[in-house]
Amino acid sequence: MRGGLYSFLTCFLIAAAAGLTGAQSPSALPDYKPEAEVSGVIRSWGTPRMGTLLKYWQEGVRKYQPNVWFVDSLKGTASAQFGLHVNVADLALSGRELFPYEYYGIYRRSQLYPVEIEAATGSERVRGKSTALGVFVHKDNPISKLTLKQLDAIYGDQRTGGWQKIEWVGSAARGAKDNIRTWGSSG
Amino acid sequence: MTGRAVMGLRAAVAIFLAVELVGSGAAAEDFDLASLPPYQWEPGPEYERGKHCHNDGCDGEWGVLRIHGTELVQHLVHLWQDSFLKLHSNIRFSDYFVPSGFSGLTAGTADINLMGHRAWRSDLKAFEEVYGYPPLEIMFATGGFNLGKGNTPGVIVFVNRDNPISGLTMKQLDGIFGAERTGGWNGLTWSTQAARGAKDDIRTWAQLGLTGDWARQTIQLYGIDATLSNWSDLIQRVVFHGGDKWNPALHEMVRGGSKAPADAQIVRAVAEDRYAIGFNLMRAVEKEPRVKALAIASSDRGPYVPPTRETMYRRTYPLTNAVYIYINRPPGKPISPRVREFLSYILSRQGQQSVVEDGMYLPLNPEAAREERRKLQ
Repeated sequence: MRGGLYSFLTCFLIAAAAGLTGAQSPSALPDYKPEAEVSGVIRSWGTPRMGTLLKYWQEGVRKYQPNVWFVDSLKGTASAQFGLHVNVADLALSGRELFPYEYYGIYRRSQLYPVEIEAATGSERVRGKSTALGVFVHKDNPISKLTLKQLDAIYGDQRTGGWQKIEWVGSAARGAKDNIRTWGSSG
Repeated sequence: MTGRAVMGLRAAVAIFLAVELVGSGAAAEDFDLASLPPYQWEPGPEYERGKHCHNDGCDGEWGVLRIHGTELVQHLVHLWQDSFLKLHSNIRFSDYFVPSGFSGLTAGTADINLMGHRAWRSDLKAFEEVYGYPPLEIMFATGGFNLGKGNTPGVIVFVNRDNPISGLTMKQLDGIFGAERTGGWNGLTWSTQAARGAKDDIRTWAQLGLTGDWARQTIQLYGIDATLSNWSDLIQRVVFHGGDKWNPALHEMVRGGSKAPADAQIVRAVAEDRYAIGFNLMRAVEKEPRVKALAIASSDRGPYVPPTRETMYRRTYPLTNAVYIYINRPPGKPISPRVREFLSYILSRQGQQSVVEDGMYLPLNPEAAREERRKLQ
């Protein structure tokens, strides 16, 4: 599916770009300072793979906001946004970006765009923790690097456009002449 | 019931329908509604007669039915509800008409979820990760044919008027629109049985037996995008056996997210290109005299079935569409009586009569309705 391939590349881009700042120490980030005292229940749906981290966050924030309570129902990324739709959740924890058709579905349902907040960079190597994708070749292969454009040429194919959120973007088009199908054409 | 009484009832239904349907564009005689059994309430063993009375009405199911579904079914659901309430005066409805009720079904805030398309794989995954079993799927109507307000229409494959081809098999369609693949999805299961090699690709008209100037020409393909639509999902399921790899040469003409439909553009592209093939809905195809709709055969031996209202109603045309209801039914457990009765009403003669009256979809034929009713047991 083209959508699948497209999000695959997008995810890769995010992971790669974020990787550059990954080396920074968290101490470089500003401390949390409550802007107001708040109270109430925060309901979270989403992936259980973020469950431990969520607990850390909840314990941490309760030191500043003792009147905030939490109810979690973490069943998976696919169901995360469903809790938001029918107002049984306040937060959806997703192990990936929304698929274009999910984004479209939310817009059609609510006439609003969802707010996506990047909460952390995916894992470097822990399986199932939004792991960055590695592209690999046989060890005898002399190639040691590829550009994203070459990856598109290798894994992708000619297309008349692509989805960016719910907009079909013609500038994502490319012809079959950009295909790389032999090792000779990647140099 | 005597034979005469049956005939009398059928005649009465026919007259009733003829009156009902004036102005809706579809005639009652297009459909065999009389062969559908009329709705009849059968209280289950759990029913306590006289327990719930309201305005002197004691009979019937009671409680709240929470219905979520696409806004496109709002009118139809209201028709069903108005009639159902006359038979079950203690039922209350809580409706929420938004695209995809899967969120409500998954979150447990809806009993019945009506979809204008079959559940996407991600919907099924979401439901399964919460409950551990799949939702029960019930087809409640066949997709539209060519009416102005019709929806979820069947897929029409069409070529330029000059093209000598008049029909294609499903395997040929896979060859034309598909590509080599290592497997396909069947619900949430990946099956390598759906695999096919590149040697099955059909890329030129010569491969379909055409000669002369046709033989040298590559097939030009036009259709809507292969990611976000009910049609591409239908083609992937029934033509590619669950595979999702398309011939990359497909010119995707997108409906612009929520903006202008590309239907006219797709039809015009095939009208102006002798060597093209496209897919779209009948309403757009039949307006353009320079293209012709193809008959499709499920098997290589035929028969070739042309897309007509009749073949879609009979569901013999292989690219017939459908609309679905999903409910949360734990395996081996009975459906709650009020949900069961409402669904049984929808699948009855009266319920399907409302489908015709609503005009958006085609009613289920008697065999399809029987098949779906069996799932309620």
